[in-house]
Amino acid sequence: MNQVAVVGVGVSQFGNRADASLPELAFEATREALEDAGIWMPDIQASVIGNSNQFLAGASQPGAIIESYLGLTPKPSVTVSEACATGSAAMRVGWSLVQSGLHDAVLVCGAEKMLEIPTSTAVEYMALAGDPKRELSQTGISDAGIYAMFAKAHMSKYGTTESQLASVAVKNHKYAMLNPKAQYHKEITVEDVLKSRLVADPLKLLDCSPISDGAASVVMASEAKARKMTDTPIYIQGFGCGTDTAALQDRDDFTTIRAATEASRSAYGMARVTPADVDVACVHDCFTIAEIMAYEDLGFCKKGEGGKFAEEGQTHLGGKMPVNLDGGLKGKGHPLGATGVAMAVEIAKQLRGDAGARQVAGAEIGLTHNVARHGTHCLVFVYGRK
Amino acid sequence: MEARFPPHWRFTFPTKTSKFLDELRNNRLMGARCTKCGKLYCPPTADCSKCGCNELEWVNLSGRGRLLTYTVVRIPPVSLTKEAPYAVGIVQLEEGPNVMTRIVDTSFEDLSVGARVQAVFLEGFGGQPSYSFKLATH
Repeated sequence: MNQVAVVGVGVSQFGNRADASLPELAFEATREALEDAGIWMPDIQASVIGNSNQFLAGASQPGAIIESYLGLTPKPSVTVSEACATGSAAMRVGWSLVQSGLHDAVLVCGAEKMLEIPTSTAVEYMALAGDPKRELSQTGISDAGIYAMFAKAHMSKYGTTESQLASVAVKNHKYAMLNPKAQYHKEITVEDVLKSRLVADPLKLLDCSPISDGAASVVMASEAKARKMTDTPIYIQGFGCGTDTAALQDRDDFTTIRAATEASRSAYGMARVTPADVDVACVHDCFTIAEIMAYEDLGFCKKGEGGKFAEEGQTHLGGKMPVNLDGGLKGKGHPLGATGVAMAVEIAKQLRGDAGARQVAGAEIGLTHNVARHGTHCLVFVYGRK
Repeated sequence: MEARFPPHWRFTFPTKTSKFLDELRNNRLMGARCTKCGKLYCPPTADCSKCGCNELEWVNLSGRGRLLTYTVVRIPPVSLTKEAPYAVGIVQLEEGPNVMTRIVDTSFEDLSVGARVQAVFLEGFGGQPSYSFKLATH
């Protein structure tokens, strides 16, 4: 099978970007990705735009606005929307367009602008993920509330502690310090997390990723074209996409994301690797408990031992499995549609050896794990230098 | 529930499942069981996602169950600002299905995973009949 390579990556500054509109953010990330690839807009044959939430965008065709602003009309374009996994879902479409031979240079751009409206309104729009008629309008459950229920179940079944959850946020803030594009540049302690305001018991404000503006872009090319463009193509060796019920209540285990175990099984199989082969990973830490479940669902540690794995520092630089060295969603920010693409950007930099102070020495295999809401969808990608 | 959600966000029970709302008005919780594979749904569905059958039969449910997990929402969606904080949990009904529900008439400190709960019948969003649960007294 012909391989597909990432040949250019770019990411905007994440955070409160009152200075830039949605398409301007997309432009900022895309310009960087094209310069990185050594090409310009005319070389792009088609685009895949990721934007997760038309309510947040205040437009029902946000992709058209972005594609126009990037100067890509009248070329083919499609917009992908899959809640917080939008970016990775867009990557999957991009791979298909290139691998099929339809195009040999495709732009994948994920962008989200979330801070134009009050936080409580953004919380409500995000709560429309999943099956809101059955769950939101019946109970008033929020996204934090959903993950709080995962946390409560995990704590009850495995003895996971609030301090273990907090250690994930502490790590991700620590590494965000090394990422100039991150939303936060402030170290925090376990005590800071434990003392922060309760959002949905047992999750506190510092267990939650922030509301963010930002964009990320990658250029994908066919293997033949990639070899001509760069000495350091990063190949998509495998990926998987798993799904689970739209309504959380239709599940019977609240300590795991089944979509993630399915997606990782497919991704490892396609790439012919095992969890032990992975040198560096970006996982979906929308809430601290989500990163702990990710360790388990991806096979980085045994089921039920994710809390301990976090607390022991096994996912720090130099640990058994370095995770979210770009600061993760927690420290870097979580502009929904951009997140999955930004994970690909970080892994590409790590595998090229371009990650600076947060570089995992000699990283050969990288992984991304991107979850929509409470695991309605999960996409896992395995990247390699070959 | 005092939610100020737009009307079309309401959970609807069209023709095939409307009996569910009628029976909630009588303080009775009903489920729908697939006549082919036996899977039980609550709230009811018109079709069976498990086996593809579209013939389901009504079943009376006891309204008793136990709490699988729960939370207290303190920063709510904007339409529920006046109601917070409130408890939400997932209840496994005695007969099998799980339902996400408000946990009412209970102090937050008394909630625990595994606690026995029973259905109570309160008005939901938009004045529609609805179900909540509280800690069981039996």
